[in-house]
Amino acid sequence: MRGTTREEIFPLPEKGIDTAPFWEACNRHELVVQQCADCGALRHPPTPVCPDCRSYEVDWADVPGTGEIYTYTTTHYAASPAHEDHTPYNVSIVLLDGTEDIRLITQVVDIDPESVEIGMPVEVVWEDVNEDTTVPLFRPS
Amino acid sequence: MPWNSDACIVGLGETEYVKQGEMTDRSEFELACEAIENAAGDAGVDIEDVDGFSSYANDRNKGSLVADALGIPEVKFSNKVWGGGGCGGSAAVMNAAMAVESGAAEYVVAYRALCQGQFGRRGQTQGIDYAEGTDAFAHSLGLETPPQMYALPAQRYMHEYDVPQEHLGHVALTSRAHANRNPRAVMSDREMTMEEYMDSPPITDPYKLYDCCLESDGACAVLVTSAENAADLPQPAVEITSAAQGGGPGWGSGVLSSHNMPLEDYPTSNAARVADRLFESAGLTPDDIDVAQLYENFTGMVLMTAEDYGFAPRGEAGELFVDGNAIGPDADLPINTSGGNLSEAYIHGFNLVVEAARQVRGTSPTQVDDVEYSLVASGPGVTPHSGLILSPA
Ligand SMILES: [Zn+2]
Repeated sequence: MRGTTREEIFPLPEKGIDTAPFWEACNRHELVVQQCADCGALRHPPTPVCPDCRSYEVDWADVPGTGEIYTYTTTHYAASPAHEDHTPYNVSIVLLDGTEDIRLITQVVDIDPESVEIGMPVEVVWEDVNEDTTVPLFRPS
Repeated sequence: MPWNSDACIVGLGETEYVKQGEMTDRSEFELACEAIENAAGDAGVDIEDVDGFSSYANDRNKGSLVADALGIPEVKFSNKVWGGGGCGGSAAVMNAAMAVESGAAEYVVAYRALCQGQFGRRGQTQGIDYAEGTDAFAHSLGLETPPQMYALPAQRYMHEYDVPQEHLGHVALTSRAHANRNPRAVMSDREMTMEEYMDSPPITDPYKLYDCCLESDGACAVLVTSAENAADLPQPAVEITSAAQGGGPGWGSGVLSSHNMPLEDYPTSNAARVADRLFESAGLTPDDIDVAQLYENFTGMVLMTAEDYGFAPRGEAGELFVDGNAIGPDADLPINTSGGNLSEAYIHGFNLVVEAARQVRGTSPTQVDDVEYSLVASGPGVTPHSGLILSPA
């Protein structure tokens, strides 16, 4: 079946023990990155242990919600019937400001996908998928 | 510690390879059994003497079940490499060799069966409602399929090194030219020009249709045993001169769902560390390699893999492929000589292992003269990457 809403096209994130705080912050329209409570190192995607100091103590750091396109692809083909009316669409890796190297997988919207470029500055825009789930998309800033 | 096994590949087994969906009379499980029996038969080993089973990735055909189906009297080793898609192909052979070397088992078969037509195409999503764990950060944000996942490092690679689209195209043309020499290849009869490559439909930039591997049905297997046993068997023994698997920090789910690998590593295939160990262990350099099979799920990754293996400087691997430079037995470094994943069949790259062994035996459809060292690199972009150097025993 062809999808029209995001929920019909892409799977929803399952909120696990390690990852729920990220998604819950999204629901509040806050972008957070997991941070070691002992050494302060940021890491993403979330894991239970700090790879730098092996601490299990976890904080969540607010980040500005801006960044730049590190790499991207424009997807032209429909990976399922649900995707057919959604192509072409962008998938990007955004290098987040306020971090040394933390990257989010996301989609850049509000722009012709063919105009997206590496290095382009972007800012987060929240998409409320349903009452339980919000995902961080980005748009040119 | 260098690789210190002298285990050998003594049998090669394949089913026919067809386009996904065309294998309608036999199950994937049956093909697994058939490929394993063919490998034992080719080796001149009684199937009942096979006592070990090794596969990788998401192979559905568990050693325990295959063994029962084949009437194996006692299983002594059954093992699957974790993670990373086709990256584990050479690792499955390495594990087989380690089982033999340790005495855990005597005749271990490494194999892969894959019928996308029976279980869903890799390029398609399967209609799941929820993405779990780390996958949620990819799938829920639109990064759902392998061509997309591997397009991202390729785009960055092309940006950093100013690599033209044609360099990817020459990788596709190289595999196709070799498939045209291989009657068993799915694309045996289909020639390809650069114009056809450039005009092929865009899939997910920078990948066009012909940058993407085939989606196939089939199975293949290699039988591994000790050098001592190998000496008494009819086929020329193929020594596993070096084997390595692994990867760098942060590459656990790599391009599949993390994309937070170290920035300096990002536009690579995560193969450099494995390559270093592979060469060091064998006391060899890239110049010593006579023929190479470099896993091509997507063309861009082949370029990065070739650089990780030291066959070309960063950003310059395209030069290995332009002007037909890697095509044919007389090329400086013939690459993907059976047509590989792009044009022979996509058996999750295990067909590349079979071809690497054929080159040592002297039975490739694009046979290189006097092969001393035949290299296969399995799968990019995630841990474990794995590779083998094979040579005449
Ligand atoms: Zn820490």
